[in-house]
Amino acid sequence: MFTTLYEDKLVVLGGIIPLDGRVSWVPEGATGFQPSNAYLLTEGSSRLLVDSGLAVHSQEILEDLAQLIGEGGGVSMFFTRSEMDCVSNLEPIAGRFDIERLFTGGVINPFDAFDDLSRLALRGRRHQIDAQRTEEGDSVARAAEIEIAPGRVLEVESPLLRLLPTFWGWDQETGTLFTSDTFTHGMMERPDGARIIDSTVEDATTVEQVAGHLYAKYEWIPRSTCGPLREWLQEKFDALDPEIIAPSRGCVLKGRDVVRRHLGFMLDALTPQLV
Amino acid sequence: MEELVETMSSDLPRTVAKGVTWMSSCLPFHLEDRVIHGHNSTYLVQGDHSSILVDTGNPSSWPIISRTLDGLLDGKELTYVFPTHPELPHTGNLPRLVEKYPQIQVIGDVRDYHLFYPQIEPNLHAKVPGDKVDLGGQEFMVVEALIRDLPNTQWGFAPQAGVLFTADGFCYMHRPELDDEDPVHLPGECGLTTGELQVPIAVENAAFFTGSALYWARFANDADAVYDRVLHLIDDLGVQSVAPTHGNFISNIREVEPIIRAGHKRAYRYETAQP
Ligand SMILES: [Fe+2]
Ligand SMILES: [Fe+2]
Ligand SMILES: [Zn+2]
Ligand SMILES: [Zn+2]
Repeated sequence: MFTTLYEDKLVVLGGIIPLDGRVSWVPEGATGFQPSNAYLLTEGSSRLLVDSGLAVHSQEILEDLAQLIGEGGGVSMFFTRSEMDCVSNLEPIAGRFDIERLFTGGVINPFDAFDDLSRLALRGRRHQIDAQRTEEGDSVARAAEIEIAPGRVLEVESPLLRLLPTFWGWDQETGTLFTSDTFTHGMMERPDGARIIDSTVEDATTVEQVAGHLYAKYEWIPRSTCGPLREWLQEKFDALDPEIIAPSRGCVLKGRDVVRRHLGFMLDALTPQLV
Repeated sequence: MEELVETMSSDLPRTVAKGVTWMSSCLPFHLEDRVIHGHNSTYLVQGDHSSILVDTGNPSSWPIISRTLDGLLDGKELTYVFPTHPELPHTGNLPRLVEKYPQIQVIGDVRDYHLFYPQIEPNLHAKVPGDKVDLGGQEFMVVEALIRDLPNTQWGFAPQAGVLFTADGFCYMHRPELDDEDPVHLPGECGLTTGELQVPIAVENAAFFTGSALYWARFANDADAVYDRVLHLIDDLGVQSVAPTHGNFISNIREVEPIIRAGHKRAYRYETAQP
């Protein structure tokens, strides 16, 4: 089931992960449910899918896509990471829809995960977004731009705060920042709960919760020099002033007040002595 | 037609310890004047009645990995596979292995795998450090990963062979003039151990690789603590040699460890001294 985040422009789709001790990226003992997210950006008849969700949610993703873009419709794709929670529906999507372009970074070509000869044809549709790495390999200035349609672009950048090769996306049109595996802490108590935290829902998020989710994957944060990470994050949010934070998993954070509050939690989580 | 299979050196497979075969696919990088390789190794540990594959290789290498296994197993089924962590070069062939060997047990920290590969859920068998499987005159033991990127990473140890399998730990490149994220070598060096290499590993190369592949090393200034623990492990277990996924097989760990440690220290970006 998909949810519209911005009329005619942005939709979140994907399934729900039951937290039962078999998921590595949540704090130990976490219970409840976590949304797994893919995002469809639309401009007229052009579409860009940001991440593809989990293989276990393949059917939901395919059915949602069929409704949104039509059976066999054309779609470009952008992977924020080449990790399996982002890429594992590439093959089923390619089997049912027309992947027009695929934007990824790093040395791994996700099309190489394909068994068959279609890999050959698809390989040529890959666009490497980090071909020009900076010397130090640090945060890449917003160099890559993915044109969704004339006049609508997704700006792509490699964040300073990352674990593996990762890209954030910025869609000025909807004020949405795609943050991949950070800001993933919004949970649901029931599988049919709200997958969006906005001003209409009671938000009981705590800094401990945010830190717990961040450290579950970024286990090195508590023993690291975090000042530069905080500065980078603060500057990013000051410059963009996002309206929506759209992570690969966890609830979508929507509305400037909500975004500011959760930025505050994240900055505190990046100051481990405060947690 | 383009060769779909990644280069696999004719120098490999190669027996590197009692019952341990180094299998490798090398990812070719085409530079202007030459082709260089990045190791993406798998290791087969064989006992009298059972065998275990450490890491699965990249999906595009599957045809050649499958053929190599046929040759080495001589009609027997592969009993176990131990994926060190769920990145494509390490686990991407899990579905193909389960298809080829339906009884195979996937062992290790198998959190998340049911979400990425729902079709192999019945084959998943969680293990924790200290757990062993008996291969017949040869054992395989799961060990805590002391150097890792993803939290659900594990190392392995084959006591009778004295080989420690370290996934992304101890990966490096040894060609000073090259800069890419993956550890690289030239054709002809694919099957050489570190003791056989003509050009030794340089600290700068270890630093570059560590800072990219183990990105956290830029922020965490604790290389001495990390490598002291590794040396303790090496002493406690009686490790003779180290088998990383990306990089040559390490036959002289006492000589290589200080270089990797120094490179790891150099990857740290900030001036502040540790208290
Ligand atoms: Fe890795
Ligand atoms: Fe790796
Ligand atoms: Zn690698
Ligand atoms: Zn090679």
